[in-house]
Amino acid sequence: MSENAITRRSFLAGSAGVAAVAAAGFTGFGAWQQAHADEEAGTGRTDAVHTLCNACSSKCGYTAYVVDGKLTKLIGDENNPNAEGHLCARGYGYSQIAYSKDRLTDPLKKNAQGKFEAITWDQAYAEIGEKVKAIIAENGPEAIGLVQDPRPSGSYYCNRFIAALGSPNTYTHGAACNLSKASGITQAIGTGDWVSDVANSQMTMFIGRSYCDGIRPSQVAALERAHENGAYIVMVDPRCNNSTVFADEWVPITPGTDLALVLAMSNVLIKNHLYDAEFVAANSVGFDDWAVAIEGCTPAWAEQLTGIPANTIESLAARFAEAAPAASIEPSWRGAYGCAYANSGETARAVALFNTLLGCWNQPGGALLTSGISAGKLDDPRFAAPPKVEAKKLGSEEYPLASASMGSAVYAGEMAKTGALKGMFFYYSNMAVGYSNPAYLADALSNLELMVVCDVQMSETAMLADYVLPETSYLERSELPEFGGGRVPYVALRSQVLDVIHPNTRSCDQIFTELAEACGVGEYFQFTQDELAEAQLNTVGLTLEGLRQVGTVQFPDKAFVYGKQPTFNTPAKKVQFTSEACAKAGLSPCPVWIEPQDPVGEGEYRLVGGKQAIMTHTQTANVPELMNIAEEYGLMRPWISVADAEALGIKDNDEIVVENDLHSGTSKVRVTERISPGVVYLPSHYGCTSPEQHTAYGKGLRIMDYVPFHIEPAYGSTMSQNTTVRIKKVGA
Amino acid sequence: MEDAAVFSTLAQCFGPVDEGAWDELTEAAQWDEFLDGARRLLQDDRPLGAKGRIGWTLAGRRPLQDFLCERELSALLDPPSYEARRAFAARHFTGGLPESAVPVESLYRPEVPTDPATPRGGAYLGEAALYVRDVIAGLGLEVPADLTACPDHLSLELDLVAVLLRSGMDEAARAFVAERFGWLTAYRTRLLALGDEASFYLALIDLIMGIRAQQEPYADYSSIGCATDSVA
Amino acid sequence: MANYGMLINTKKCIGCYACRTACQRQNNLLPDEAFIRFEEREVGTYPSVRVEHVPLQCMHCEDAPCVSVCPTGAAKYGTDGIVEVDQGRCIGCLYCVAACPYQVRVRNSETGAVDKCRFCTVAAQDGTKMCSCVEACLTGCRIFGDLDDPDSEISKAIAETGATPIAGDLTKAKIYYVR
Repeated sequence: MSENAITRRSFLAGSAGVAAVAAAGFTGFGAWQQAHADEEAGTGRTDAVHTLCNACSSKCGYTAYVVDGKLTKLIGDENNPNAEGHLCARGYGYSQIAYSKDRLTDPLKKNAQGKFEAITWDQAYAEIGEKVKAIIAENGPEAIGLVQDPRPSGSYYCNRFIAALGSPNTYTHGAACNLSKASGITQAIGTGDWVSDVANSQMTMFIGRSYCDGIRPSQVAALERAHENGAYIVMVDPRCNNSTVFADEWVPITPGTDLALVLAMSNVLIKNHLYDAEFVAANSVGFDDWAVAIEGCTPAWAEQLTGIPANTIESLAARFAEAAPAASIEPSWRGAYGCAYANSGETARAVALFNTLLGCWNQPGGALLTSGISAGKLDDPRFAAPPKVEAKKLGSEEYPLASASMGSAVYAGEMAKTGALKGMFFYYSNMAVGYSNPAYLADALSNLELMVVCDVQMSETAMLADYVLPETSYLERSELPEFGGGRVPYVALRSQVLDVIHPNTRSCDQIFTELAEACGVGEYFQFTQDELAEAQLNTVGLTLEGLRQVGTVQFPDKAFVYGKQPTFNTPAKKVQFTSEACAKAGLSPCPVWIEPQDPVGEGEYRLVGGKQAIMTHTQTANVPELMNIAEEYGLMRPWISVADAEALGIKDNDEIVVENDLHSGTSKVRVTERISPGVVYLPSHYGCTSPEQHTAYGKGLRIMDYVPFHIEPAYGSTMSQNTTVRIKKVGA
Repeated sequence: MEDAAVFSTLAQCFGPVDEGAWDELTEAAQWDEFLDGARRLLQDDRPLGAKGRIGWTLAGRRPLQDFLCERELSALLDPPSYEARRAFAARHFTGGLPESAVPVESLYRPEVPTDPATPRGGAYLGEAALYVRDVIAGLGLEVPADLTACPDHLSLELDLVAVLLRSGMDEAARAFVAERFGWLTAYRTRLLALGDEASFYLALIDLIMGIRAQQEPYADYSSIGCATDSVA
Repeated sequence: MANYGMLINTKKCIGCYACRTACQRQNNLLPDEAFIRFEEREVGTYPSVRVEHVPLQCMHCEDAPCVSVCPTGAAKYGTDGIVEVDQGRCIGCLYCVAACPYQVRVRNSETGAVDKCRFCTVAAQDGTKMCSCVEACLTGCRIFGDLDDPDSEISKAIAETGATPIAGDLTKAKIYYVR
């Protein structure tokens, strides 16, 4: 080969060809830096794109500014009801994931030595497709399952893909998030959530939830307004969380005993005839049964369990009665009873019943049953749903109260272990270390014949996979419209902000469309995402281009109206103090006290988790901007109380051992007045064991390592705080 | 071999090439010519791009083993087969793996310069990438589609040197070599951590670093607006 | 000529770090380069305890120790009462870092030069109506404006709340705190 042949193979093609370029075109680095600084100061080409954040599930709308192809500023959109013009720290920090050096850039396959190798998409699809077909041929489609953390396109494509294969087994991360809360509330009022009208309330109680730690900007604003309006805000939490800045009262509570508090407050209202008897009589069933069932749940009884003085419970209940109907207990999310204990679902149910006693449904300052907006029926036959799957979702019989749209992903893990599931897909889900005990799940998932993970970086779940499919980051892809509910229903859109950075990564819609083709069910995916988005939007009077221009459109004509007669979509079409479904599932027909966890032994401390304002799940710890904050301010440290620290001879920032029968680890400790004695708080974001995540790896303790694999009866959640630990100073 | 062709060859060693191209590139006579060209550049007292002295021969000059260790030399003398190269690239020239060693300058821009062994803070499309992207565009060229995330990919930086040399822009080529290839120190450390299988690429890096060092006496690029200290 | 300053109401600060990350993002700072730092204070004992978060950044002092100690004139008083750093003149000696009583000057780990809050409003472009931290604050803790204009929002707020600089008149600092 001649030298010319070599040079002809230049990677840099262009109009000037490779032989010669114009001498004038070259700029040295110094001159370029100066010019570039000028550009950043405003002379560069700037694009502004409305899009949605992906740093948590709130999906706040914002405007992304892009100068010469590089993301610069992010400014929250005023017209987006979650953002209300603001983003949180995660929103700014997580945007840098697009440029992360730990991005996955090619499809990967685990080789015989257990190491990943880049392969082509064609090879990945062909091999996955062949394996899926073989599993279905041998074991039926029910042997296939999928777990996802729902995102607008992810939810649609994942569910459709699994349904097209003929399997019922799609799961969300709910079992490690809000499954018990949503499912318990549903048993009482027929829907899984409400909006507490915090800003206009006279009193709102938060149980284990902190708007200022698990942030949605509009909720922080509502809490601040409530405080300014003189509302009486109560934070029930073993920790004096950051929302207490706007609270009038912090009520520390023994972890796992929130149910006792709610039952005792209910008991006080009923005993003293302080409840809205008229509303209860007209809108509920089973009240008398419950009243009898909780007769013994007095404040004195609850004091023994919760550690809250009986007179505090009395006065909280009295204050609620006074404030009603402009008062409610906020529904919470993950917090204390989303998935934490053996009594979480029943706690949620009791909270909904307590609000019923207040008669606060749909009242100003009360608990609002708002509605949403959804896409109408699509006429185009290409969008028709795949044939209905007759088989029941794995876990739906064992955990009958678990919300059908979430399912128990933890149980799916157990089914991988037993072999009932043979092939599993994971989309944007770090189940292996986030949903239950990591050692158990690693072992369980290793039983799978096929494990496929779709993500942007090498999560611990991806490490276990046979195939890893690299997705474009959320800034490099468009998604289906987000149809949202609340006081004013809205539709918002994630639009593509940046050109695709790594050319061999693909967006969720493309990946699942192509996977479907490879698995022989491509007939259900004969459309582009844009075509589907356009069709969905047309049903609510919008166009894709129109929505893209503004990012979020609200529907004020469908806005919530105070005083509207609430509808309860339960079997009785009323609030159900008693539930047949609960009774059938082995629970009491009406919620009564259930011990949250094994007794706490000598020298043991209850372990609680909880969000920090700069982190979401385990997905953000690898962002240098955010991890730097955690390191600078010691946010990875477990918290223990001053009293416990003194008893154990531990000082602030001492290195301590946190251990139980499952795990042992060491960390610097935070000794604080802000936590109840007898409790250890471990933030839920740290302890990454994926060496591919250079920033997060090996930093902090991982709470799930201390949590045994177990499942909440009837509801199917992971019981994420049902465990204890021992602590001591290193060397002690 | 001309200087430009030496850099073209180096570029193709790190870039995406198909089997046919690789076999041609590493065909014995061709590869020998490349090694000769590189050997000259490691010791010639002349600026990059300038013609060597007439009658200049390699006889009596220092051999490659003066510049490379045994392990690297033998790897360089016996370039990998296409299959071996593909297997290496599949495990190391892809992102997000513990053994990833993607040769992209932005990823090796140390946030803490005193500690190049554990580069932190590097991210795709850093300042180096934006600069090289602008240089490529300024010359009327295009970044290939499969390298859009990394205009500062080593293969493109090397290729750019070749293009500049071929276009008679020797001073620009020398400036580019002096300014850009400082990151290879950190990248070399990364390759070292991969053990023996990286020897071939280590050898190539050492060639580039050696050539860069040899060019130091000719460094005065103020006329084309280059940074006087190569902070990048 | 304006005389810019800021008011920070710590009673409304929830310690969420949004101002810090917004500042980093909007001003294109390195991941380990932050112009805002935080002090957290626990007041009282369990269970009667409350928490105070105090964000700190360059106070743009009228009597600035950083300017006094800077050997090259890189740290200087700019227009409108804004303390500036001429990045080109900074030799990275870190005298100013040692001299600043508020510990809010940071070294850029890539260039070695020192930098700090610039009151970015003044040079703001596209979409930013106000300093990044002021815009980003979820609870409206921060007010930016002209201290010399008695009708400005900040002047009125200072008069109303009795806000004072964090260390009294130590350096004639221009960030006022409600605590």
